[in-house]
This record gives sequence, structure tokens and C-alpha cells, in this order.
Amino acid sequence: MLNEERIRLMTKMVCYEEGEGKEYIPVKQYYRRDYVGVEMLKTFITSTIAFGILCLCWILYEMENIADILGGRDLVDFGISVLIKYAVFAAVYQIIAFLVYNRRYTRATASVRKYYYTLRKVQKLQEKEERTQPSEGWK
Amino acid sequence: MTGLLEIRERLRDVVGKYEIYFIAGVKFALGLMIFFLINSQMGYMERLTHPAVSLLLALVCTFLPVNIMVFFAGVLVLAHLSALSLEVCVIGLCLFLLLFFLYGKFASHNGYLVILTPVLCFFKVPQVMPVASGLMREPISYLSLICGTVAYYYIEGVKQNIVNFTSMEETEGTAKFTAALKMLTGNREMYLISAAFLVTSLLVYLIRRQSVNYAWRIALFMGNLVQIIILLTGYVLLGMPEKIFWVIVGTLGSVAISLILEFFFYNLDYSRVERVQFEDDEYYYFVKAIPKVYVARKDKRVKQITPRKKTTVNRRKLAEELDIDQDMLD
Repeated sequence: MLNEERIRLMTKMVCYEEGEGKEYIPVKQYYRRDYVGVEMLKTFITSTIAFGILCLCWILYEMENIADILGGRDLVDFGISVLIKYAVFAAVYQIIAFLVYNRRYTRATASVRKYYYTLRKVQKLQEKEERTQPSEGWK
Repeated sequence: MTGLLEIRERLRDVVGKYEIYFIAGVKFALGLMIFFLINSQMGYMERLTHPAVSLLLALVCTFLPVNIMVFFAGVLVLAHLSALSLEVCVIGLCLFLLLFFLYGKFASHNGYLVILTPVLCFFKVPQVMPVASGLMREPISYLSLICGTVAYYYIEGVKQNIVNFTSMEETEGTAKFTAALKMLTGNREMYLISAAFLVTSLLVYLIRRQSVNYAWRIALFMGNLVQIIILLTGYVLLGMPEKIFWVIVGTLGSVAISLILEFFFYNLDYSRVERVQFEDDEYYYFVKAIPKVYVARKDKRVKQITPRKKTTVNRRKLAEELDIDQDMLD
């Protein structure tokens, strides 16, 4: 026989999985440290690419004057100054990533808690049903 | 007011009932608008300007996430730019990649804002966006307004400086790169709009989060006021007084849209505010609860007063239907 209560809960769960849960359930597959760590690593890669693009744009912008700019300067000093800029750029992005993904994990925890509670409820209902139903051998 | 609230409830019911079709319709209309606008405003690659291309792309976007629409719009823009000049296309690609890597990664759910901002910039009323997003979204979304604005001003800059990019001389390659980048770095109007949007949306967000009565209304009026002051001052200082008319029109539109949003999403009854205090082992709670304005929809029920028409059954037919002898019905 159909258990209406279980069906109601399961429908609610599917609605969550298809909506908000789509974003938050995968987040909760990880520990906070792992999730934030992986996302910060990804951000490090994207910020490195972005810095490269910015450098390329600067070179294109200063193409005609680049000889003058580099001519009067020590190349090692120039390289160090670019590296410092890159380090500051990447550090800022790492801080932003840390804040954003920590917050996202906290949100996911709050959002998924209700879902897991419903899941446990469904599990209990199912176990109860299995206990009350006669086994195949008795039919 | 009650009539309006009833209409609101009915609208919510209808939208809720046909949500799939409603979202698909919105996406199709938005897609059609953005692709048509790109083709009509740029149109450097003639093969893409055929209406069928816009229609087909809009149809594809109807069934896909909105970020795909952003992607297609970007590709379409780059295709047009490549037909104009490779240098402009390369800078355009760098710009889009930068926007994606620096911002898109953190807030991937803001496709609508990224698409709507340039569309409204084209119609000269982008002032609607910062107040609306300040009311409806979180601060991480506000940078998407800047992404949309930067993309619009790049396209607009190319259009206005088209002579610089149509030269056929090979030696002018570097000059084209420089010209394309200067369009971005030297566009003071773009900086003004971006700063105004950021300040306005943050201000609206900060005010609407306060625990004061009519927080949303105060936020929307203050936001619009600050925005109009920044823009008017900025345009006067930049020597662009011809833009002032559209700033006023856009701000009026923004007030109207914000009031509609408030009516639909934050309509509270401040005459029934309740304040409660309680405590548990760890905290003392001061709670302010404001009920939402809600009107139950009138359900029309038709009550039958006159008795139903009796249907007479022929004795012979009934016997035939039951497959028995007529005499048995006596």
C-alpha cells in the first residue's frame, strides 16, 4: 500500500534536489577545509591566467614605448616588481576566495540540514513499513 | 489596495502554475532582444545579421541555463569584431576572459544581470539595475552590473571609433591594439556609470537590511536619490549635459520598477508590528515580527439552487441495458 506521508516527504526532497539543493548538496560532499582548499586552488589558477591576460594587455598597450620603458631599467628589478604585483594580486584573490567559499559552505550547511532531516524521516518510515509488511514467504 | 493585492495573488498563482512556460518565455524574449540588438548595433559580419540567426539562438537559449545566453552573446560579439578587425577581437576576447576569470567564477548565477545591464544601457535607462539588484540580490552580484556596463561601453566604443579599425595597412596593427585598449582605459563615462552603480547598489543593500520600518522604501528612494546626484554631477563635470535628460528618465523608471518590486516581494503591514523578547541558556532574543500583507483570493463557487433535470429512463431501454425481462422491473 502507498504511504502518503513518505510520498509527500520524498516529493519535497526531490523539489529541493532540483532547486536549491543542486548547488548546495555537492558542496556538502566535502569537509569545509577540503572544499575551501580546492576552490582556492582553482581561484589561484584563474587569477594567474587573469594576471597573464592583464600583462598581455599592458604589453599591447605599451607596444610602441616598450623599448623605452625597459631600456633604462634593470631587467631583474623589473621582473621582481612584476612578481611583487603578481603576488599582491593573487593574495587579494585568495582572500576573496576564502571569504566567498567559506560563506557558501556555511550557507550550504544550513540549507542541507533540513534535507538530511527529511531524509532520515523517510528512512525511518521505510524501515517501519518493511517491519509491518509480511514477508514474501508468508503470502 | 485590496484589488491590487488580489491581482498580485492571482498573478503569483498563474506564474506558479505555469512557471516552466513563464521562465521559457522570459528567456526567449530576452535572448531575442539581446541577439537582435547585437546584430543590429554591430552587424560587421553580414552572414550573422540574418534574423533567422537571432531567432535560432534565442530558441536554443530558451531551454538552456541563462549563462549559456551570456556565452552565446559573447561569441556573437567576438564574431562581429573579428570581421571588423582581428586586433579589436583579441582585445574583446581578453576583456571577456578577464571578466570571467576575475568575477564570473565567484558569482555564476548572475546571468540575467549581465544580460540586462547592456540591454538597458542601449535603451539609455540602466539606472533601473543597481536599485533593483540592491533590493533583490546579495553584494557579490553587484559586480555583474559592472561587467555588463564594461561590455556595453566596449561595443559602443568600437562603433564610435570604427574608422580607427577599418584601416587596411598592416603596419597599423599595434596602433589598433592601443586604440582598442584606450577606448576602455580612457572612457570616463564608463568609470562614472560603474562607480554610480556600485555605490547605489551597496547603499540600497545596506539600508534595506536595517531593522527600521519601511526599510525597502527608504532604501529605494535613497538609492535613486544618490544615483541621480552622482550621475548628474558626473555628467556636468565630464561636460556631457545632453545625457542629463536620460538620467532623469531612467531614475523615474527606476523608482517605478523598484516600487513594483517592493509591492511584489516586500509588502509588509507595519500597523501590526509585534515585538517579543525571550531567552534561552545562551542568548537573549529581541525579535521584531512584521506580518506580510496578504489577501485571500476570492473563490467563486456556483451553487445549484434549481433541482437538476430528472432524466427519464424508458422501461424498455433499462431492461435492455440490464439484459433482463421487462416484467422483472415491476
